[in-house]
Amino acid sequence: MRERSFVRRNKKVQLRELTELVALRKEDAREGSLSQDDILAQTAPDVPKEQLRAFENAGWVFQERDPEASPDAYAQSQAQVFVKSGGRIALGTNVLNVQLKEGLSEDEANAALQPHGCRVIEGMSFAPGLFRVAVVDPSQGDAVDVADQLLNSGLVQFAEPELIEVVGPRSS
Amino acid sequence: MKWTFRMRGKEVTLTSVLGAVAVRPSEGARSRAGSRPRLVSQFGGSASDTSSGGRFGLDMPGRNRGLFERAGWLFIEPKPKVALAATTMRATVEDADAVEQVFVDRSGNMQVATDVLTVKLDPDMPEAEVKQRLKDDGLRNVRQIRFTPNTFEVRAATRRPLPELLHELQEKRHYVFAEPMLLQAITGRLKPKDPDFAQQWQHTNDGSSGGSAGADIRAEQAWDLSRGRGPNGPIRIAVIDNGMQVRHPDLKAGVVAGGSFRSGGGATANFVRYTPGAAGFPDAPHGTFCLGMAGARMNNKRGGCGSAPEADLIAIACLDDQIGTQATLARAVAYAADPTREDGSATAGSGADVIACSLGPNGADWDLTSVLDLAIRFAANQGRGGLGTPIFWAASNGHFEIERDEVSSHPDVIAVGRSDHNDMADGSAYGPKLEFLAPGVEVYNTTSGGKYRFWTGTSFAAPLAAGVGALVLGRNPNFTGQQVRERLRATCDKVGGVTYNADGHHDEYGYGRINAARAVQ
Repeated sequence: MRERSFVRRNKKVQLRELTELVALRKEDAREGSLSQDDILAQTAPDVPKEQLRAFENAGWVFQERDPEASPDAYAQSQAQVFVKSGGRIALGTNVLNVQLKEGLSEDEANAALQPHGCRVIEGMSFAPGLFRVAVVDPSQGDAVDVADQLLNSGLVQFAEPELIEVVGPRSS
Repeated sequence: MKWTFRMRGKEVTLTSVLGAVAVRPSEGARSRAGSRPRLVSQFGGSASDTSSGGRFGLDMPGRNRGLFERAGWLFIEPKPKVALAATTMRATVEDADAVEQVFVDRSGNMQVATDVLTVKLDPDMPEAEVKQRLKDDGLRNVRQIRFTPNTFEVRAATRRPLPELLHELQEKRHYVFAEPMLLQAITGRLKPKDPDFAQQWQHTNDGSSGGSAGADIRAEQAWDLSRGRGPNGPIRIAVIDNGMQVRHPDLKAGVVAGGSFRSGGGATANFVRYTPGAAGFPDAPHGTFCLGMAGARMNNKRGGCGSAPEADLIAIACLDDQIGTQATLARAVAYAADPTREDGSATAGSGADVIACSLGPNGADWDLTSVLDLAIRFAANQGRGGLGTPIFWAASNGHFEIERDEVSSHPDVIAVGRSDHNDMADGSAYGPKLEFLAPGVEVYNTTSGGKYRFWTGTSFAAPLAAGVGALVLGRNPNFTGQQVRERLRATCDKVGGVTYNADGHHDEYGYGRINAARAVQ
């Protein structure tokens, strides 16, 4: 486990990364001896069970990280597991949302982001300079690391890692 | 073309239905014609008969046309001399008892002009002077109204346009008022005939469900004035949810557009435009219920209805397995306000007038990403061509400080809590950012599989309130999003037996329980 943080809307967001776990798509999961409930109970007993069920329903499986596995052993389907305030699970991605300081085209944005190991996936036209970008150079770190780098670069209004979370209905 | 005049000290604006006139054929003409097409052809082209799919057949604006037609009026594209007669008082057309201009008021109700005016002169004016004034002003007394002094129904003494005469009279100081006499459909209070309407205490609570009579949103009174349709057509409500049965029999007639953002539990979502009637749209009971709360159809012999039963519905599904990123939710919000942001084939100006979303965790904390913040601000400020789209969001169901949920307590979001059938707050999030309550405990509406059920949640209070927002826009189409919010806030009932602060707010009740009837006045 390690404490992580990034800046969102001028506030520091604290995350607890469950480094001993990974989340995998069901089809990529290994055979495991522990149940999902047991795995999470051992590593994050404060996380409500409903959170786990919601991810399971969406095809995610939590597994202990294989210490023997090479870093890319799980290929693209592997996700870091974070716990946010209130015990909410968030899965890491290699995507960030960034708003560049200048109104740049997608090509210009790519050129500006390349030194930080990022590539534009798509623009979002409801705000100027708003892009979804992927971290394509693992040597720069993960999306949380790169968010910090970009913010310190002076290039962006904001840079935030895109996290996968439960957004369900507000009914009983 | 607009016609503006004063009535009881306030400006009233009617919009004329260009190219159409109302004709009331004489009894003789009716019996001689023998058939409707022949009767119509006396006054206009038979193809223009509004009842047979002519130019105005199915899409002529104005509610209650059928009531006028049952009363003997025809709405036609007129021959030139008939068109001229309609705009000129005292002009006559052979075989017609009346030929009049057609207008639509701001609620979309049809109004037919007459050549009669109601005028009231200074109450102390002697009778002889009254007669002289009327004569000098080119008026002929039709009837004196006896219950108030110096008040008359009058006609123009000579041929002239009604707006011109009315304007002249309203400028003269010896008239207390001069008002046109317009034909309107004045029907009994609308009582929906939907078979399960009695279950929907949220609209009208008579106490039979075990709750308190009157603990409802006063929907029936509101529907007399607005059902979600304005002078320019239906108000559009976008409901954002994990999925919905868009082909539910009580919803499909209302769902005119939409799309889904499908991410398969991952980060990147693909947008798929919805073609009304097509299969394959993500379906989920919760979203189906939300869609119904806002706009299930009325008087279609099925289930109950929504709070804005004549509004158009835009169904937007995102995070269909309840897992995904706020970036996807942000795209859905921006799409609701302006579909061209996602859909290259969408028409500019086809965005929603009102947005409802009932997604979010039920725990206390929900942190807002910058990208969702930008999307909310975009919709609230640039939606509706810059007027702003009001965004209704379900507050958390847990009894937490609402500020811990940074989405529903966003300054541009209207956070809706839930009330029960006794008009009591029911334990949803509380605090200064709670806007108001709406019924959301064991309310009844549509669910997937073409079915209906009772269900509880702030999830259902929010789209119910969004429907009331649509009713307000039906009456006030030029309101900004902020004006809609202020109107709803100002017209809430101060329920719960608690003391509201000097601003009319209470942490558990917001500004009170929403009251649709007062909101649409």
